[in-house]
Amino acid sequence: MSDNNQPLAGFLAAAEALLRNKVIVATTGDARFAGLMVASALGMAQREIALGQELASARHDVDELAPQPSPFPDPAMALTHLMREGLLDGQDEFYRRLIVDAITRTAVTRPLVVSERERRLAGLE
Amino acid sequence: MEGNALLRLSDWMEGIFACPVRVMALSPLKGGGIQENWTVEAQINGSARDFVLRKDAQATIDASHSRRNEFALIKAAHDSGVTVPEPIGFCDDTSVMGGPFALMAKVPGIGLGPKVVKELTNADRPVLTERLAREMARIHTIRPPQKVLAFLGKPPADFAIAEVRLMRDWLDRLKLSRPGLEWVLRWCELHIPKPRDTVLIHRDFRTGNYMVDHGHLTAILDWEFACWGDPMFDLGWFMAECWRFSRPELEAGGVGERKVFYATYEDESGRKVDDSAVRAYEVLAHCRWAVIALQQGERHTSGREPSLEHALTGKMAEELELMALRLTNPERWRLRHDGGFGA
Repeated sequence: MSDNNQPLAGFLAAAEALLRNKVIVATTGDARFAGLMVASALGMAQREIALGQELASARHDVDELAPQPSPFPDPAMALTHLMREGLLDGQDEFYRRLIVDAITRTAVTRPLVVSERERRLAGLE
Repeated sequence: MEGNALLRLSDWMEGIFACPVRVMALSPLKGGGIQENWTVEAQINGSARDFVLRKDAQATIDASHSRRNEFALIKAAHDSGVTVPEPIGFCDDTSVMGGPFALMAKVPGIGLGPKVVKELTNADRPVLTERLAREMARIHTIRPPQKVLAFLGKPPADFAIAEVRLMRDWLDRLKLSRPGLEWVLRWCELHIPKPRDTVLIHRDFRTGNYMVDHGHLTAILDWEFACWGDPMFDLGWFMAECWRFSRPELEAGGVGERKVFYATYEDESGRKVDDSAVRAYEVLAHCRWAVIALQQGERHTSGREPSLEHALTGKMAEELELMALRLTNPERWRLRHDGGFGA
């Protein structure tokens, strides 16, 4: 996390704690559901700030495998083209980079789904 | 809901029931992220009866049938002995409710997947598993062509390949390049066996899309994605880990055991389950759900239908992609369906 984002992350953490400890516990039904959704979004935003560098690095590692120069506007589109043409079928290193990218993104959106082994693989420990 | 709407709906329902109808109340139902669902409380010739009114949401996703076509599917299923909400009528006069809608009997029970999985007793589980297998088998007795289902078009020559192409098309239309999902789609293209049969498939037959009342099935819901296809797709979709909620060890929808579901399905349908095909369709299921989640998210990000719920659904694509990637590691590219990639 960059130093610039530290105050924002702290602000979001305080907002999430307030929401969970004071609001959600005191509400039911639709209001509780809405509170849980907002808390979930706040949690995601904090993790996205915390893992910003890892996210960018994982994405870069995937994009790096796209051919250069390429007629496509971005590396992901070039890789999509290669895969649809069957030119990356089952390739170990490509798969490793794809799953590290997916693990890192899931660590932001749903961290409980990511296993300890996967966290180590993605360098998130 | 404004009083005139209740009166207009009462008038329309009188035409259906051919007796005095008074709609007392209309209230929105939770769930149904893709369609608008309303509970209708009415007096039919003086007797209280509840219904569900199903109407298109402001924005729908690409695969959804119109309400008219969905109603025709439910009628066809009802006529084939599938447990669905009794289809009452369809109205395409937009002056009644502001858009076309279908009216069905309201069925008791809970539908929310996590709740269904959590609240079932150990005694309920095998009974419900068998019942679901028989219901699925009954859906699969409907074969093309069917005049009333002409809107489904001709069955695809190779359903699995058509599904992979459809997913790619959806991603292209979203203007999204997702290398992880493309990896999975390519695996599916190479590994899902060619279908042996073509029948009506529900295409969204999973825990969360049926109603359970005290452990008993009361209705199969949400027919908006049904099509002609490979029956093994429905089994794969139902078994996929993403639909097991808090009971991932119960492979049949978080409800029961895979082998019980297979055996009952085979008994009811007379069709042998192709385990390799089912497991390959489980991979596709994660990918398909990821793309649908992205479509839902796009309803928010496009500004067409701003909603935190849609935005959060869009974020589910990340974990679904991860689940699908786990199932398609390079080792699994080297196995063909005849070599088996079972558990």
